[in-house]
Amino acid sequence: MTVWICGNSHTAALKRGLSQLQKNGLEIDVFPLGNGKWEKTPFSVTRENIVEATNSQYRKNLQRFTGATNFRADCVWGLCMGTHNARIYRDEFWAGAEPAAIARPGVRPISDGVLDSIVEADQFHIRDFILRLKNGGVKCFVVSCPPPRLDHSCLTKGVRSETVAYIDRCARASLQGWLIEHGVDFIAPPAETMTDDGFLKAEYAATLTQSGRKDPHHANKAYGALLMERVISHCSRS
Amino acid sequence: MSHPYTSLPPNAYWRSGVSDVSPLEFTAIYKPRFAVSESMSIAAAGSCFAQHIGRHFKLRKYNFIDLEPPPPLMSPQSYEKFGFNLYSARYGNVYFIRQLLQLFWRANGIFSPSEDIWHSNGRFFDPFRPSIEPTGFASAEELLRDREYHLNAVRSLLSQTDLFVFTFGLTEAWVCRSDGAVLPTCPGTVAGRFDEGRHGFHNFSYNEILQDAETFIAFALQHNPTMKFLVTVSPVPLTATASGMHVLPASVYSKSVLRAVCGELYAKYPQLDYFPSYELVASHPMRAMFFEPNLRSVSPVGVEHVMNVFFSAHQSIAAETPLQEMPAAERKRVPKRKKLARKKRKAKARAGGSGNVICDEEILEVFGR
Repeated sequence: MTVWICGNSHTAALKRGLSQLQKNGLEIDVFPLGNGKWEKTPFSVTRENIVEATNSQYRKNLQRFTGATNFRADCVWGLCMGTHNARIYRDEFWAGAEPAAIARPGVRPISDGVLDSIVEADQFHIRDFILRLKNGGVKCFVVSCPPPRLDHSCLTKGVRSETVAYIDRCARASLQGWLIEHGVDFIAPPAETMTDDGFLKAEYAATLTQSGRKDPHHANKAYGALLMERVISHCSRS
Repeated sequence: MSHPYTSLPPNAYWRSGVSDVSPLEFTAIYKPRFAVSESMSIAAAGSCFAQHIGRHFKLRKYNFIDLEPPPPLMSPQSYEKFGFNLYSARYGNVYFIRQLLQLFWRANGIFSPSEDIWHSNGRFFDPFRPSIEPTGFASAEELLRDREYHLNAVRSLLSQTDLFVFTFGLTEAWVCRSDGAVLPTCPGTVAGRFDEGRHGFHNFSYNEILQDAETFIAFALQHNPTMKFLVTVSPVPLTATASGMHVLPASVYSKSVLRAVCGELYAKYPQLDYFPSYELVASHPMRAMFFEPNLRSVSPVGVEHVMNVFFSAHQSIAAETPLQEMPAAERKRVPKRKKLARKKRKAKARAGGSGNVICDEEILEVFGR
């Protein structure tokens, strides 16, 4: 059975990492569905018990890499989406607001309840997609996006690193709780790639994009290889 | 022979003002005492019906103050659940004028209620806005930080307000026996635990409400001596009464007291206007057509009608007021009639949705027994 790892731009590191690994006879490959920004919009639909991509970019890439415009039930799908929490913590709102648990005096405190609501809104269409796959009998699991980076540009624009770490931790906990509730496995980032504060260690960060610009938030091939090792191990077991 | 009733306008006679005309077309049922312009900074508080007023001021692009706006990343569907986007700060429904007064006293350090935090099943609730976090705060510290920020926002509200809109809701309240702190909901309904030794029923009298309203006006004028006031009475009847009376006469009593207070305030304060939202929905010529089948909730059509009466009246006086009679700064801000009409059309289209009014009383109705 073919295992497809697909999702947002963080699949690039996974693809690079996979190229360094032995696949242990597993038929597995990685491809991008498209930009993570589309995860905030409806991107999937179920037609006659078949789950299709509705976002044009996702649909195009799904066909390009798998030959079909639907998520085939005879494959296993590893979804690299749902923990791209930069969508939340990079917003300039957090320069003037902080999670209440760590808020400094005078800064607007945001309760865990409100933060959960923000996270659920961010993950809404991803959860909807996973439920479609489950209801359509399509096997899937979720592959983590990398932890936040300490050199993310939002940190230079007034967002505190503590805020970024707190939001990322809450968002991950929220998704993982939901996945457990729905019996969907989650492949977490390897512990050795993370600092004690929950950030990606510098040696696992991508440095430059293909065009030579500074890459502000992706992980590199080494991270991808470590995570894909976990993915292969998970798929070999199940 | 001439007498005072010979030369009155048609709307002064019941036949020509009410019985011979459609209730949708009462002429001059509301004649604004002063213009509410789009440049005025408007703040609002009140019972759940007041949510409609704030929403419509925003929809129609008036300068409505919101000192605690929703985080931009939040889904608009969750705004109301968390008390965002309803009033000028995140204080939830303010049913009583004394509750309003105490809110500003608390914000200004004049009053510190002994009822501090409600704790239930590992969650923490603010007794003075128990439904602001639907499942409560995660910790007492979180609640206190949020409350401090909230009260700071409230403290700054009056000094930036040109028009304060208050919708009187109820007279029947639950108060803390130790210090008279007025609670928006009976402990044990939305959150908290009812304790007869600590919590008492109080049905505010005409004199008490009038005195509280006058105290609030005086307090507000200290912050902005040119502030104007707009008062209304919510047409929504009581969900339940603890007075011992049948709920219908109890409701009529409450609304009558509140309406009478508004009349007295209108007579005494030239800077205060009364808008008859109660009459436009709940008076008998309206034949209860703007109520939902439960004869309590106001239908979206009813809300729309009330708001259209209000804004049409204000747009008419804005259009009628000669520009030379307005101060120069104000003149610049007056939109042209065409622009006004366009805005009105857009606002009407946008306001199409019913909007879910969060009413703590609804919870009482379901869980009250």
